[in-house]
Parts: sequence; C-alpha cells; structure tokens
Amino acid sequence: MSRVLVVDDSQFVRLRTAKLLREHGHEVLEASNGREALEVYRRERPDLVLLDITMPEMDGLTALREILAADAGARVVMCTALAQKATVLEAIKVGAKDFLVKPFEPERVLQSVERWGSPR
Amino acid sequence: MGIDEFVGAVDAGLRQAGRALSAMLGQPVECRPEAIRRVRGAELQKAMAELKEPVEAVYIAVQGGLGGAALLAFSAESSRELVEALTGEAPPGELGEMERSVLAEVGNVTVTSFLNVLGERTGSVTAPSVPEVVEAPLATVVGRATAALHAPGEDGVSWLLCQARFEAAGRRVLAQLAYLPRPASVAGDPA
Repeated sequence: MSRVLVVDDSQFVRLRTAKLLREHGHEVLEASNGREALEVYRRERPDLVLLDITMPEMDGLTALREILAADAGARVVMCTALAQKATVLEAIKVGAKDFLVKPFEPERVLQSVERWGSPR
Repeated sequence: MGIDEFVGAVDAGLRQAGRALSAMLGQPVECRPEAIRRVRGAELQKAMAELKEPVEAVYIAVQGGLGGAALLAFSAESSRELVEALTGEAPPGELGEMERSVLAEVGNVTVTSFLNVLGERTGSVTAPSVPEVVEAPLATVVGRATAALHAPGEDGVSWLLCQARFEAAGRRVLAQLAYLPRPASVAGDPA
C-alpha cells in the first residue's frame, strides 16, 4: 500500500482518482492546487505525488520544483491533459519520475503507482 | 493553417474526446459532431440561439501557435442531463462544485482532444488554460471570449461552431462547441 497525494484542481478528477486508488488499497491525500500540494507534502511526506500540470494559483511545474526543493527524494508523476511534449520533457528534466496523459486510463494510473509509489 | 483544416480537426477531436471520456469513466461515451460551420463573430449568438438561456459554458483560453478561445456550451437542462449520465447521480437544483467540475472536465477533454489533433497534424504546441465554468446569458459568455482576442468592434475571423452530440447511459445531450482561432492562426478566412 502506498500513500499517494493526488493534486488536481478538478474535484471530479480527484474523486475518480482517489476512488480508484482506495479500491486498490492505497491511502490517498488530496490537494487542489500547487500551493496546497506543497503544504500537504511538507506535512505528510507521501510516497508518491500525482501532480496535474495546469492548475490555478501554482501550476504543476512550479509545484514540482518546490516539492523537490523541500525533499530531493520526492517521487512525482506529472499529469497532463495534453501531450505537451515540451512541458513534460521539462518536468522530467527537473526530476519528475513519469507522466500520465489525462483523461486517465485506470490501468495506467495503477501501473505508475505500483512502479513509483513503494513505501519509503 | 487554413480554416478547413480547423474544421477537420474539430471533427476528429470530438470523436477522440468520446474515446477519452469512455476510458476515464469506464462506460461507453459517444461524442459526435452533428454539423460544423463557420460563423462570423457578430452572428455567433444567433447561431447558438437554440440553447435555452442562461447557458452553462466551459471557457478555455488557448495559448500557442494555433491558439484562440474555446467554448463548450449547454442549456442548463442539458448540462444537468449530462452530469447525471456521466456520474449516475441527479444533480441538485443548482449545480454545486462537484457538478461544475464534471462539466469542466468534459470541456477540458473535448477541447484538449481537438488541440491534440491540431498538434498531431501541424506540429504546433498549444497550452490550454484551466477550464472555467460560467453560468450566464449567452451574450455575456460570447462577448467575453471574443473580447479576449479582438479589439471592440473588430469582427475578426470566423468562429468554428459545431453542434456536438454526447451519448452516455442511454441519454443523448446536445451542446455547442465554438472555437475562435486567434487571427494570426488562420491563413485566409473565406467565411
């Protein structure tokens, strides 16, 4: 079981993703923007972060940098609504482990959590 | 890029959106274009008049080489029907945060699928904004999207207007998808 922080400004996406992960035995934390994600990350130190790229207040790329500044060992998987190659490549360069293209296919989400979310 | 290529991308993008929504929701969702046409800015409101006021619209600004403004608009009744079809739960009288986020995600998937097709066909990179759900008179919604791209009184290039049909859980819901390319995005606009 992993502790996964799901970060997305869409309540519907958070609900769907959290439901999927909980059904497969994972513990889920939620945040609705990058700023909130950083706060939750610092407090809870989850095993994995699923981080949306396009969000209000603080976008995913900025949040990724802040999370890695707080914890160089953080494991973050970026979530993008578009196959935004340039943004995804930048995120990987900054330190993201993987990326998921939205809308999520459940199997792909579970595979990524299995691969990167092992308990620390 | 010619306006006809935008039309082709709307068609392919809507079909891709149906597949994407099906994968996300784990149930068959069809999204089909019923009619696509080009409409001058001044005529858009009239062309969308079959939507009952006020409308529920998802507004997305698109940055990048083929950027512009996108609207996915429903009549209030249709938006509730779609939310119920996709979530299995009838929304309350007024749409709450959850119901609005369902509409926002449908708009997001629909518009980004269209942008994906544009990107595949042209190599262009676009960046959509966070989707915003607006409940307002149609004139307000259209005026806002137009004002973001054109000076007051400037008609600009054509909107692409597509009647989109969503089908899920035995329900059939009609919406209007409108895209206004930034003038610099379009080569020759014969509308």
